[in-house]
Amino acid sequence: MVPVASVDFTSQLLQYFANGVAKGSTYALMAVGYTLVYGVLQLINFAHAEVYMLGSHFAYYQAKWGGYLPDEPGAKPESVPILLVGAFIAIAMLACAAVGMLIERVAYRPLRNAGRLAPLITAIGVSLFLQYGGQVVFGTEPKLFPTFVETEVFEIGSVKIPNTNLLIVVTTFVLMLGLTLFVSKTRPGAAMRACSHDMRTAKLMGINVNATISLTFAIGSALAAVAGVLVAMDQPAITPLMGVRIGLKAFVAAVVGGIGSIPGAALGGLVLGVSESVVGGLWDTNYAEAVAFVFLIVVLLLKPSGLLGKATREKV
Amino acid sequence: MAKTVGLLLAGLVACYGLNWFLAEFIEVVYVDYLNLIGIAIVLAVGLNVINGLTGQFSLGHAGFMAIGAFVAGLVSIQLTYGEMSSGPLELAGLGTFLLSLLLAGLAAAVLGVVVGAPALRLKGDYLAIATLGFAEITRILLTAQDSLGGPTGIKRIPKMPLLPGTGAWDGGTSVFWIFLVVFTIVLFSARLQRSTYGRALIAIRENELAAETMGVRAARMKVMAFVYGAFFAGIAGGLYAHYQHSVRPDDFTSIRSIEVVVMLVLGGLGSITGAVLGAVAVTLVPQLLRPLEEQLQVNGLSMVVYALLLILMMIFRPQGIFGQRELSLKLFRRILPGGRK
Amino acid sequence: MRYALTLLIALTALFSASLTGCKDKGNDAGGGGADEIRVGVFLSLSGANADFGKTTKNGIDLAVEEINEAGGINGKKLVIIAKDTRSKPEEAQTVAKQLASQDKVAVAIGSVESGQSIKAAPVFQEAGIPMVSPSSTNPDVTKQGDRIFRVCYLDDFQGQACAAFAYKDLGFRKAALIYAQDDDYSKGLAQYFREAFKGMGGSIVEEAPFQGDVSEFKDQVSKIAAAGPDVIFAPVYYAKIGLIARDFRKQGVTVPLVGGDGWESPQLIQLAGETLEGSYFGYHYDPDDQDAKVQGYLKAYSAKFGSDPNSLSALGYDAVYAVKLAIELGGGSSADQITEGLRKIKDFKGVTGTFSIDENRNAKKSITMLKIGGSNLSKVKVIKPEDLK
Repeated sequence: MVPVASVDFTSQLLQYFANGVAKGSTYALMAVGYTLVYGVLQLINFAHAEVYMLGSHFAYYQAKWGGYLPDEPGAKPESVPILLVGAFIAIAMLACAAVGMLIERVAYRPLRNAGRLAPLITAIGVSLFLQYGGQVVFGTEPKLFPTFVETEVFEIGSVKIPNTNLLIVVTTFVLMLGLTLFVSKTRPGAAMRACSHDMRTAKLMGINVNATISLTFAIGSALAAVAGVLVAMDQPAITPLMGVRIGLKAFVAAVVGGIGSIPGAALGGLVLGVSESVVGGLWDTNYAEAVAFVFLIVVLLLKPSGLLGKATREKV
Repeated sequence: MAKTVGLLLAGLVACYGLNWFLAEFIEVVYVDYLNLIGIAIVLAVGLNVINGLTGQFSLGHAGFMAIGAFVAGLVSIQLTYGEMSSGPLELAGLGTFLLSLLLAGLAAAVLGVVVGAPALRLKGDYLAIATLGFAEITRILLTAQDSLGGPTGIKRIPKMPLLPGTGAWDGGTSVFWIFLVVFTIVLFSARLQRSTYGRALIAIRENELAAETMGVRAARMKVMAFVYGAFFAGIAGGLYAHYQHSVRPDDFTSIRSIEVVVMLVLGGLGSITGAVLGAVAVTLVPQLLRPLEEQLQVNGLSMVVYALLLILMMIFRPQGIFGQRELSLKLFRRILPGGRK
Repeated sequence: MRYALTLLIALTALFSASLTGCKDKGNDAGGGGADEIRVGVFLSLSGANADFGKTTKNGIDLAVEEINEAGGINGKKLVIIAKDTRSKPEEAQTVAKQLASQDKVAVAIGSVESGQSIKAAPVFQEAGIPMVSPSSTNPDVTKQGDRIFRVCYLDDFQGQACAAFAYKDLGFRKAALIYAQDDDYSKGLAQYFREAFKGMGGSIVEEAPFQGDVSEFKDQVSKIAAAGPDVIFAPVYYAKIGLIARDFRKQGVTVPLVGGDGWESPQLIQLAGETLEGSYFGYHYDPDDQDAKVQGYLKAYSAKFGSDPNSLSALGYDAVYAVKLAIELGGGSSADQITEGLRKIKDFKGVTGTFSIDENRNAKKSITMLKIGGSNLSKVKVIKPEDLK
């Protein structure tokens, strides 16, 4: 039974490509958080996914308290004015930055000299704490995310791209560009690079290592907040466990791209998103989930340091 | 050799005694906790050889367990009922049961080679994420197999065989079988740790290059460590299948792999005693906190408290409960007054 | 070397010392004292599916409160002992053991997720305690033993009913499927729909399953859009269908979606916006039914919990009343008597319809197809089990 395709192969492929780019952009935005922290501390910050969850919830509660969600079920939520959207996102970013710094201060800093695995376990602890704490505080039912932008769909040929997806791609691109400039051109950025290169020497050179690490967490967490809000705008139902899956994917993307490298995170996210969409679409959506991991293993075996990662040679 | 056989026999008797004692005097609920702890110990002590001794950070233990569970389940279903069917549970024959566990272990060991060999190229967190990838692929492929029940998995896995002298009481003979395996793996791992092989593994962990210079065949040893851990994880999966009577692919998510790592680090990486204690703590704490959340009527609270305990524990004792030390009779002798120093 | 043995001894000692509860021999699963009947409840009260468990629990609590206020059953009060399965099937088995051996319940109610019910069933079966699942629709659940019952219809019937409705009543011939590959409920419904729809002469033009807790369905939607179906069967839960429907409309697919009882929730229309207008789903009862029992239940529920009930609450509510009827029919509140009573249930009038328990311990009941309007649901058709024969 061969389905009669109403759309030709090329435009179908382009559609999957467009889907994948949008999906990959969110992976990339999240992957940056993992990669920044890993670059500086060599720590997989499992709690990053929960910061993403908090980001969308912070924005949700602001809009709710601002009266932009209807009380009775069934009523359509009115859209939030664009200036307020900006304010809500900015506040969510600040709040998440604070949460990120707090997590680092409480759970990671006391363990900075305790080897690699102890902070990993506290990271898992923080992640569980926020997941279950979120369920206790926010409730477990999915919540309708307020309308930050009215959905509009652009058609290019037969390829359909919703404005929310476009927004994700553009925002991610701008933020990644900004971040790259920040890291390469500013003094705090130089401090971050120095810390990631050799923390002890950086300290000797007079760099405030603690402040730099806090800054790293703040930036990563703020970007996670943006990702949380952007995804919630496209997929407007949020839950306390929404970070788990995307967190894992984003971490895989960071590793595929070469952990520690910002362009690597962007590339890894995009490659992962596009390959998931194209393989799922053209072959079987059933296996789309496995694609990410197969890809991961292949990349790691061919180039253990990731696509754009620097190979480290062991000193004898 | 004779000593090992003697110890194994002693373990056999001890497990039988334990089973009898629990059957006579202890409520099924606690026996259930004990069984879950036993399975966790097998996983943790096995992973300790990969992660604690050899220093290969693996996040894929659930994958080995999954393969073991499905193989053991299928083998005993096939040999007991002849096909997948529904109806009351039956007892597995002794031969069927042991064969199913052996095949479970072997199947997982094969996967151990498949994972361990390519993993030679990888180190640290890269290795961790690659092994996690293997385990996830295993789970996703299992879910897609309609012949294996798809998402619901396989059901009606026979009960563990009875022993002479024990009635068919609520908990059956699960304690005997599970703790016999626990005893075996603890014994073997303790021996391994102090053998030439164990020293070689530790040498690889401390400095692979130096170890190779000393004549340790690092690549082969590293794969062997994977095979060892995977074999026992497969058996743990087999025990789990017979104990739960049904297995689903999503019993073996990455969360379980992470849990086993938590057990290791919490107890003290590299220490068998630590792995055992970690397994006890991680299994028991969420259950013992149940009354708290039921009293306060806040669902999910026990997991919040569990997470907090985990964080505090690591901050105040980052090397784990036992560090790299082991609990042994010698230690008791040292603590006891008048003991030999 | 010796410490392996030491360890085992130490561990045993530790446990023996810490175990407070010794085995209470000779006490069969009688279910409490003279004036109470202990009912065990195991549901996901935390974790990914906590919402299912909590709404079911509300229905159960409401029914128990009503029964106890009316003087209980033969003078005995119902006592609920609720355990949280944390949305994990294996925890369901652990808490089932707690309910069976520690709390010594006379009857158990649970769970929503078929995976949990399948793991818990052997425990209750072995302990001789009847188990009533309020809403596990997977056919395998009641096959786990002759003390395992349910008060909902099965996936096979539901899938066939939806297929018949889409083919015969709506007149569609080309269907596409989107479902969760790793969810028993979703996959089961898709399978029965596929078989029935093809059997009637229709064709399945595309299938796009997904795995995991995903929230975006762009690729599945693109794939289905390319195949050009005239109806889409989407047997998923309400938390997902809103997102799925939104993604379909974004890519310009406007054909109706059809789904099962998992769609139902007071939040359904809110989460989907207007994207589900003109779609259909099968449900246990008609919320606009003017039947006094249904209306009374709806009023009592909103008065107690301040929100509208969903299908899971109603099934939990009916499960308790089915147990009550079983106690009356079986002539007592022991586990055996309740099991006997459950087998005898005929033409029980519950909120979710009138049903009998058949020889396979499943409820035989009809399904109501509802159409989604702007902000309300309307009854389109009632399909009875005998209609499909």
